[in-house]
Amino acid sequence: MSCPNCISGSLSNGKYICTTEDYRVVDSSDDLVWIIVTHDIPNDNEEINDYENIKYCICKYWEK
Amino acid sequence: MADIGKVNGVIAANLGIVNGVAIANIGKVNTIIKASGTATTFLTKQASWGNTSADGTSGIFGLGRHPTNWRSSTDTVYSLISATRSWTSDTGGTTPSGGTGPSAGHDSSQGIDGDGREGASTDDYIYTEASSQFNKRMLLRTPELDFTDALDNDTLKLYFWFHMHGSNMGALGVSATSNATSAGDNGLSKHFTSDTAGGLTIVFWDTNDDDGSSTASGVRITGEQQTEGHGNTTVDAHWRLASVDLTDLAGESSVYLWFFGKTGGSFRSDMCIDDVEVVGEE
Repeated sequence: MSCPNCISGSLSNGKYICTTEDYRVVDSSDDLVWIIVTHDIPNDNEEINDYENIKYCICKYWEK
Repeated sequence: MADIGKVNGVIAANLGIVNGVAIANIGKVNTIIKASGTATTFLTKQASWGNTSADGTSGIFGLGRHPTNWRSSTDTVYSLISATRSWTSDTGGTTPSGGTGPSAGHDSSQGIDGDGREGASTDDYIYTEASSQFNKRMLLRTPELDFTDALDNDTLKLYFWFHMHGSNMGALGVSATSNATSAGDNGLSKHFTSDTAGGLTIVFWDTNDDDGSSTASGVRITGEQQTEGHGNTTVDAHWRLASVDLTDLAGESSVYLWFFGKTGGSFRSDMCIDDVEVVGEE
């Protein structure tokens, strides 16, 4: 599927996940693609490791 | 149901004859004060809002991203029910957490006679950041509003677009006071009396029809509202319209409107507001 943002790229399956340090996009192997934003949420907070499945492009476009 | 649609029709007709229109873009919330007919002095205290430089679009005045007179509850003078947390500005797109919040701010070009479609990814709004702030109270107050010269037969209404998507969504309320430091002040008898009681009655879209064909009302909008998409859109893509009748406040020279948000029991309770308007109709 083509990326609606950059047109030339394609969308891949990945996750939008909250880690202990940041919100980030990871690929289907859970490897970092890019960091969305850092946060100071405590490590024992229930949001840590919460994730949504998304599709993303290397141009940093992502969608649910 | 019919009320919103009918009101919108009146508003649409009014827009062409509005004498004074001021739209204040505070970065996260577009605030529009309109005075129609001869009630042109609704806005005598508008100057106190701070920066009124044009933002480049027709008839719009901007307050900048950090307005000095829209204040949020990190200011300790906001003495109602110990609100100690602040509403958060978002520069567009989603809120950080998954499963809550919109995909973008409301499309401001829609106006109150339009629909709830989202705007561009840079369309900003304001919200209650619920991460690590569960069951927290947050207050947001407008600048001082002057309704002295509202005509006796005017209908004076507050409109705003809201987004409450998240499985642990909290509650949203609106009050009016003549006191700049307390949303619980009883001078106008439109004050909050507790987390769940008091304040003004809100009439709000309560389905995903995205056209105002169904509404509900109450002093709080409670729990998750956006539960599914509209058409082919995702659940987080559409906003809903709310209105509050302020007619009883016509003639008051000093009015502050308050938005009270209480987050729910988890991070999935980012509630959002955008495109806030006060409209005087003849």
